[in-house]
Amino acid sequence: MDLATRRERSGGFQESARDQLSPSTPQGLAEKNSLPLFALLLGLAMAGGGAWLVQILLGIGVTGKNRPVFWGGYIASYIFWMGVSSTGGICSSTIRLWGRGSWFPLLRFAEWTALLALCVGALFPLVHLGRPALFYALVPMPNSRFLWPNFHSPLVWDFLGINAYLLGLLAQLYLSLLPDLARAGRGNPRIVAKIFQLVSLRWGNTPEEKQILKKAGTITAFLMLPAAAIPLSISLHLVFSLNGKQLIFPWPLAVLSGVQFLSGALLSGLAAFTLLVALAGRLDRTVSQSRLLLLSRLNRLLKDVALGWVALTFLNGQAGWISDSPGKQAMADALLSGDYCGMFWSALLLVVAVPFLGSLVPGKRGIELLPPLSILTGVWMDRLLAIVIPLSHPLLSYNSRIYHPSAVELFIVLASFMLFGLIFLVSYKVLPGWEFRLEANFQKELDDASKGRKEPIDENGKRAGNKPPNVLEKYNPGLEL
Amino acid sequence: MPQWGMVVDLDRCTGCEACVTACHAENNIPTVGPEEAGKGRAHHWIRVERYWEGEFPEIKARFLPVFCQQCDAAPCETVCPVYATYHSKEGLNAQVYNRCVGTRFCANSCPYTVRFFNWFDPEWPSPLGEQLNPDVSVRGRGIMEKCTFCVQRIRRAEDKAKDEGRSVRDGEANTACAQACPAEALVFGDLSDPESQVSKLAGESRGFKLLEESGTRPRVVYLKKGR
Repeated sequence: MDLATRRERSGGFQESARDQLSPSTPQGLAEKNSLPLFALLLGLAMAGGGAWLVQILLGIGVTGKNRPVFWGGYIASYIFWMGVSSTGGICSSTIRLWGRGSWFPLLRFAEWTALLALCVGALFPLVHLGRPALFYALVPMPNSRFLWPNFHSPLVWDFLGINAYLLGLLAQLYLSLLPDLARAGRGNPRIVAKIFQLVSLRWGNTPEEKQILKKAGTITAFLMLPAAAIPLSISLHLVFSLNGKQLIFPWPLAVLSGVQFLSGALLSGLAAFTLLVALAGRLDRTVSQSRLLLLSRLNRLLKDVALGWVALTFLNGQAGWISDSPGKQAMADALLSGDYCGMFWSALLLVVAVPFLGSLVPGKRGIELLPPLSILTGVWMDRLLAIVIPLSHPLLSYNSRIYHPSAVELFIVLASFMLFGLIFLVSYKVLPGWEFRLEANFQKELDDASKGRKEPIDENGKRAGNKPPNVLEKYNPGLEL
Repeated sequence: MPQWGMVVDLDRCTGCEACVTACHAENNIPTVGPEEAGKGRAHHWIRVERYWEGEFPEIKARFLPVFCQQCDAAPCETVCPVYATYHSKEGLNAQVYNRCVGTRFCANSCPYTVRFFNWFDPEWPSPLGEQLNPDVSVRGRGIMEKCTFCVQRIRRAEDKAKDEGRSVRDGEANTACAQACPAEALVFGDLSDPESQVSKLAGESRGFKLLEESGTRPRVVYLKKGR
């Protein structure tokens, strides 16, 4: 489906104020051919599946895990993707409830990020299992042996919590897609139009239906935020961040590690949104004021959260220094200057230095993809460190051992990122409703942004002279349109 | 019902590791080869940890045999999502190989690092396969395992005692490691029987429990080494 057809079917282009406010939009430009990207992502994702098959046939021994580091890259990836997903859920619910106009374009990306990240992340417990064919033992269902999962286990809490979250997410997403599915059915052959009609519950776009949908969206957002997104985020991250640490750190510092963990989840989620918004722009080859403003705001937010994460990470790492136990100090040493210092400092550089350095070379082709990619990589490494460092330093120090991820492990992790990108690409091409819809007060945002400029701005967003208004200068100096 | 436990006399232990060898033979524990052992994947249900103290010539070696402590408040039992590990009525931390799905959460939770994972399928180059113990199952890849206090020997003794209409006598059920120890540093028995050797030794003033502050309530009592 090309861009013009998608716009026509969704109707979003007609409803948005974008065409009035973005005279520089190259409306006649065709979509970029995404087939090479699709082939690359599909190929790498399938290769990752092959690597998993090798692991199933040979055993978990093909990974770099050992005794005492029984968990490694897979659980780190699982937590990473759950962090991205929970941030998506929290952001989408927050935007629905309290979001301002200029943040609304993020809503669809946040919802889809939450769902896709959850689907990709949920694969990792399966990949992690020593006997994946017996995964059904984790599912609470009646059986002839009257055996149930152990509900005392945090893994079962995660399983149930994630499934509850998934159901809520699907309900929220389905509701928000109803108008788009109805519009997507227009212009199709009769049988296809019928299917879209049924799927969209015969959406008629009447004011009453819009009011009901808005209320339903608010209710699901209210339910998602306190009942699913936040508890899932907190419980999952606290449980895994405390894994082993409750025996090592006194309790205030153990809680600090949980807070640092949560901040990493927020950072990775925001980076994922930024990456998808930037990718969408490159796929469409359109220049949209609203998208650029959103990107600019996301980048600023990313940098602020990244600095907060760095502060918490240092505090967390230093926690071992103030202890009087050799074991606790060994962990701090390993992180800051020992066997894991390479990964630690690399993570810091990727999260902080690379995005800031990237902003020094604005306007470079593809540069907008660099900050979110480097932040995602850095946060993943942070997850890995949080898992393996306590495990590498057991209470009986005779058993200490360092963990090195194997090629198979890293390839499967990389394949998960490819799979995420692949599913996003397919959904972006196929599903309707991706266009940024602007609320009425976006005009006010533009007016605020243009304050201080000498040239007057007319009702179409144009300034005196040929140069189109660059409302983003205030937010991100040097960004070229 | 007997409550099985063990006493380890550190003053007697010479670090010879006869217990390790006996455990391998009794429980069908595979050898993994030098490469895998170098990665930290060797299976030793009982291992002798060596700690060096002091500087030459006043250097001393401390040997600490460590195996599953059969904790009464075992953290591994709580976290297993499928109940593959549970506490039996006789005080043993039991492992159900068929039920295990290999999440390895139990191994992470164990403060003694006494759980082992089968990273690959076990191999016994011919003719070593001929010496496998038929009383003990061979674990495939993906399954957690650990010291079971030679539960197969306990069951055999209990069955024999039941057939004869009596209770198990002290010394009748013995673990492979305790049986093999030339210094008699390992003593196994029924802690609920006050007349058993293990009960008497467990009550000695030299007794302590490993990582007792972690709250696991282990069933193994260590007797401190003399000067």
